[in-house]
Amino acid sequence: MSSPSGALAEDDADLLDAGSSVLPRRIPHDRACAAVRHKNAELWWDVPVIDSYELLRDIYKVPDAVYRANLSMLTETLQLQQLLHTPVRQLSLGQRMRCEIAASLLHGPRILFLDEPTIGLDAVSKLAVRQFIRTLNEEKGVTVILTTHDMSDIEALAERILLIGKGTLLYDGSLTRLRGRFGTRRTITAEYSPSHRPLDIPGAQTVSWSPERAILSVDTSQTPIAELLASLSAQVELADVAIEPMPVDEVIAGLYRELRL
Amino acid sequence: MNLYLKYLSIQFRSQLQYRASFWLLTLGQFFIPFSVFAGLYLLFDRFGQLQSWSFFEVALIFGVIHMAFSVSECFARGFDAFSSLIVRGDFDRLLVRPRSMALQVLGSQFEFTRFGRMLQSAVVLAWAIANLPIDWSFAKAVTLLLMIACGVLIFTGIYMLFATMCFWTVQGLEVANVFTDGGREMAQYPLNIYGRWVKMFFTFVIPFGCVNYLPMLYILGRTSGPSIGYMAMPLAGALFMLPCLLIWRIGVRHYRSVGS
Repeated sequence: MSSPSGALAEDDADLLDAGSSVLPRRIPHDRACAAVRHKNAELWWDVPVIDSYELLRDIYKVPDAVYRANLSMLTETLQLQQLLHTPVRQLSLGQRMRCEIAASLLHGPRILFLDEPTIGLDAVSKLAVRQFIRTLNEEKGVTVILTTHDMSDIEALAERILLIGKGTLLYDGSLTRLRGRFGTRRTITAEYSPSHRPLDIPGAQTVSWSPERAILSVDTSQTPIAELLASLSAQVELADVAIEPMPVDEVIAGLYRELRL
Repeated sequence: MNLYLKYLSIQFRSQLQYRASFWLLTLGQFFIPFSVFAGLYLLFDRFGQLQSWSFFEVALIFGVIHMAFSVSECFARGFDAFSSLIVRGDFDRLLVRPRSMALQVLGSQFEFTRFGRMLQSAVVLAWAIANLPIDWSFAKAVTLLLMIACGVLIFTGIYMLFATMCFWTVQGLEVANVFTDGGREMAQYPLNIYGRWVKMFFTFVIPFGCVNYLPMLYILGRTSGPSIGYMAMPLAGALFMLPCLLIWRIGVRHYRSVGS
């Protein structure tokens, strides 16, 4: 999916229609927004990061005092001290992403578009980026529009979800409410002593099965857990059982399935 | 202008990161037009003169047009290589910045290895000037500078025109080289050796003749009539730039993202 920050003409704007309650129709040009994307970088590849920052300051005409305040805030929260004087090409992906995010925020935009900000990042950078996005939103009041396929990003950050498929808006609301739609579904992972007879549990779908382990999906409003466990233990000698709510990925996949996309 | 210099400086530092490659390319750029010029020299050595033009007169014309070309390739490279900006989607990024598009595109790329080419052209120019019996005056010196400056504008204008095409075609158009490289090759000889249509085209459509051949007549003292007309001739190059800028602006307004 392309990030909704490119130049779209009015009639290309399905995406903007979908998000028109989020975004003003025309985003004011000057200093209002910034975008962080993977493919096209804000930073100049061969020079130290700080040089790029200074050029960006001049491009956006950021007053010196504002620039210095923003830079020190960003340096501290994104832990850039070690990186500022390194040429961009020598940074790792995670380091570069942190520097890119800082580059987009030097001019203090009010809206930040992030296109897959955590894709391919190591665990430490991923958490740092997430933590930073949350702080930015809560303390600086920056609106963050996140385009992502990473469901853990959504769980960690998103207050409002706009689910888009084939150019139409499928869902607009909170994650909790989305979960609620599938809220009575549970995934059950059962481990048992080897048994070669496939399980046959009334009211449950078998997601996967092996002689020692089975994953079942069940709607607890139809089949109570107790009933399910009873029929399970009647058929195999249970060693371990885990009952989990549906992962976000599956909630989303379920929604797509429901809408036949 | 200030920002342009800052772009210049960051790009220069970038290119110097690869020092050996930079110097080798610069050296190469010195020798490319050098071989062309050597050909010119040998030609004159064998045949004496070209219609009534002596070797050093042609060398002067050659030097001016090559100087204009190399300066434009160095400093207006952003427009020359504009298609890459569109293909990578980087142009969208420029659009949301509070600065003029033309300035940002100019700043997006410089080709400093063209210094080699500039140096070669300067050497040819100096050699030609030293060997021509020109009666130098302030006005003539200004005319010479104007010729180079306006030549740069013409090349830049052509880059802009074809950069604008990229808004519709996405990929760059090799056909631009017909006018830039082709124009340079044509304009390195005095225009009056060509046929009528060529002369008309390079005077009234792409005015290479106006920045090169016509004012050159004045510098060499071959004119009859008021010299001010010949002196002002290079300004046609600046005039050529105006419609190019206009078309560029129309292009920017019609631009849609290529998507990513």
